[in-house]
Amino acid sequence: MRVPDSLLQTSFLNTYNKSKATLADIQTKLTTQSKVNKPSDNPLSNARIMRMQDQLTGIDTYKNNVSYASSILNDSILSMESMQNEVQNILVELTQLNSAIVNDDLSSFAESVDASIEILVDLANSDFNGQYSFGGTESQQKPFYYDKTNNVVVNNSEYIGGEKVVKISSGITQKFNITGKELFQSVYKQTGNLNSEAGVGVAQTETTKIYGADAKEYNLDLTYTMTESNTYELNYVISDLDGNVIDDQTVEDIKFNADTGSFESIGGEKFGEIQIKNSASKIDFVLDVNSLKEKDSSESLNGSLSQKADIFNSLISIKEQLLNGEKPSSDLTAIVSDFNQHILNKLSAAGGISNKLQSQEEILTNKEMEISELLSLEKDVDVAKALLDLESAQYTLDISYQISSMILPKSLMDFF
Amino acid sequence: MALNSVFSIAKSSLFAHQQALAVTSANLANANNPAYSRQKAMFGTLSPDYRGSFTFGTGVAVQDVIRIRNSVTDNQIRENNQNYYDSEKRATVLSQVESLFSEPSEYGLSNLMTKFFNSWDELALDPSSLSLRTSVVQSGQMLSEKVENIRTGISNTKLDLRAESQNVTQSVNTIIKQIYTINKQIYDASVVDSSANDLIDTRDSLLEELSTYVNINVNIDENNVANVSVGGIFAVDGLHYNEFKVDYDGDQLNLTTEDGEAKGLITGGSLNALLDMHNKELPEKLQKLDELVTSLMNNVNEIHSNGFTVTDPAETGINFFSSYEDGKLEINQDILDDPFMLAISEDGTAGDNAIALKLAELNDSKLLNNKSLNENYSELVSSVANEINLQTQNAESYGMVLNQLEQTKMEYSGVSTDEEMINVMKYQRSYDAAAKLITVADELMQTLLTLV
Repeated sequence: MRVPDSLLQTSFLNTYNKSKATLADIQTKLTTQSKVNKPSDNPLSNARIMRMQDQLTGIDTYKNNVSYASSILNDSILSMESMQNEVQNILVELTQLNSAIVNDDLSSFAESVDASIEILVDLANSDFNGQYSFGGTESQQKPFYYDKTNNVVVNNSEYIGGEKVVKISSGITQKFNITGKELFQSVYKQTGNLNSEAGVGVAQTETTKIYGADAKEYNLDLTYTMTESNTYELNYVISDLDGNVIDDQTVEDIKFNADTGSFESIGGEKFGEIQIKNSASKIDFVLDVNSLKEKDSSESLNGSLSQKADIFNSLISIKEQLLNGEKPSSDLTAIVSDFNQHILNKLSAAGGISNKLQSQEEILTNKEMEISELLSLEKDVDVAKALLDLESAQYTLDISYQISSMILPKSLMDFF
Repeated sequence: MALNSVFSIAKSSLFAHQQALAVTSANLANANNPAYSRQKAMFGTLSPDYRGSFTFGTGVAVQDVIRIRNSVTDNQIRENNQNYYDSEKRATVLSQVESLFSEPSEYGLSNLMTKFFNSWDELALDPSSLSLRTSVVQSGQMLSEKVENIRTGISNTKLDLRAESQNVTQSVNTIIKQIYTINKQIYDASVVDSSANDLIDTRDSLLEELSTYVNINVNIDENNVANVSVGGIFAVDGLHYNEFKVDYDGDQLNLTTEDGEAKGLITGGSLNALLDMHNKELPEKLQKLDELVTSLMNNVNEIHSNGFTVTDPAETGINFFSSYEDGKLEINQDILDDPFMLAISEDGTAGDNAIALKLAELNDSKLLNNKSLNENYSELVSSVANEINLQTQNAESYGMVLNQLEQTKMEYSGVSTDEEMINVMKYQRSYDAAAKLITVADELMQTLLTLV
């Protein structure tokens, strides 16, 4: 084999370039602390890293969501606990009223009840970070207002039933507010189904009991009549126990989805709640038709009332009776007592949501740690190994330099 | 045999070794010239002198100076050059595209898309918050800027490829003209039976350079003239040459003859990589990016346009992105001016976040090719990365073959200074011997003359 000088030079340059490239590669890995600095370093690892980084960014958002939702919920829980204490105080006072020694001067009790109403309204209007906790989705507007002139507590918004939902994991959402509607309002939730094959003009009915804020009982007759396919009109009649009609109204254009049979809209609006009020009879409740369905089977209408009457106006009725020198009826006291139980139930429900959020936070933290660990395995450089590799590459380069300095300049010319 | 013939023989030896030393000197002088092939003086005896039954030698002469070269290796080098420079250029161009993605990092499109969708999630917590609304708009702008950055980067790379193709074609034309000139000189030398070794070296070097740009076919005729075709089209011989140009037809680049009549079938060399990247690979990447961004825009708009703003009066039917053209993903100017124009309420109330939640859900939804947008994007990045690896590996493997061939060529044709110095010594000794012979012959002649 002939070995011309240029062969030695080229061969040296090839080896030298390879050593330098190896050295540069290890140095980049060491300085960036990453094995994958560009997709082509390892396309498979790069795809995994991108996916894991996306997951970590998502987890970070979910953790923030959970933390924020927990804060709002905890504030609502604190407000409800305070409300429950206040209701307890009212119940104690109502119990005292029934004792034999209290016969006159009921006005001081009335004042006390009035103060409690103010406290309760104030708590119902509590806000966190500029959002009213019990305002539903209309959280920028104070939900309740105590109109002392007309002696009534009014809802400032029809959307206090709006549920706030937060995404706490991929594909999982969680309601995180206790709505003003579910806590304070009397809601008749219409369930069951209408018969879609009943035909146009055929009435489908249900009768139930409702109550005024003064605990007085009334009959509510609900009649759904099909006006065209998947569309109904609702006629509701409120009458007292003697059969006298208090209110008679019709709500038109209640639509159901032709395919699923689910409620779709009332008069084009997706909002499936009908506010029914009669000031003279102190009737104020919500008829919720969101869960009502239309099916091709015989009608089956039913429903349930969340609470007999709203607590504020029931307390106002108590106050009025006390100012009139009357002791509140047992039915009225029962409404307060029921509300006490109702608020305890809601506290329990809120506690359940809070626990779920906490568990989710732990799950997310664990998941974050697991993914970070996997990401580290995929991406981070084993520094000890890289340093050894660097040492070895440097050694190879040094040898290459040394040998080249010994061999390259030598030729027969050196011995002339 | 006359004594004078000794002088004559010694003289021929002196001349022959002088010439051989000249060849060796040229070899030593060109030891570092990569295009040079070592040459060798070929000694031959002069016509013998026949005297009766005896035959006497009449001396030595350099009958030829031959070029030590293996044409099989040359052909193989040209073949491998075409493959090596094709793969190397592809890897280089794709690396430029790869760098545009900024992956894997927080500045990559993947992270920006996730952040964009997460910003809707964050807004869902407090729909009335101006800072969260602004955050959505800003993350949308960052996403839009990155899309534009990648799209413009790839488009600019295409323009660079066009310019580079033209430069390469100019180089091809220059080399063809040089080969034409040298071919003529080689032919002229062959006619007068003169050695054209150095010209052939220069010509072969030009052919080697030409094969780095395009696929060529070379035939050397009996006069050592190279007949070359480029991409199947005649390029040059000893009498004619063709010039080429890069023709821009619609969105396609093609190598054609200057008159545009013949289109070259380019299959190798860096020009093949440039044309293929410009005509096929980069448009494919652009198309995938456009599909992804269009899908993102349409899906976001479809949901967003169903929402209500919290302005007074509430508005609906508003698109979040106004358009996507030439890589510019524009956000609705009304939203940029007033983030409260973000329509995230489904029922029209200020606190409703249903639309924001639906928009956030898009990050995990199978929106395109039954995959999420991030999965589609990841596939795009991976396809570029895998192609770079493939081309780099190809280039490395062709490079190794090329190194081996270069070494074979050097082994065969390279100048060894040691070998040449030995030749110098050898020729010097022979020269010394011839000179001594003249001295001896002279002494013989003197002895003879003293007898007279």
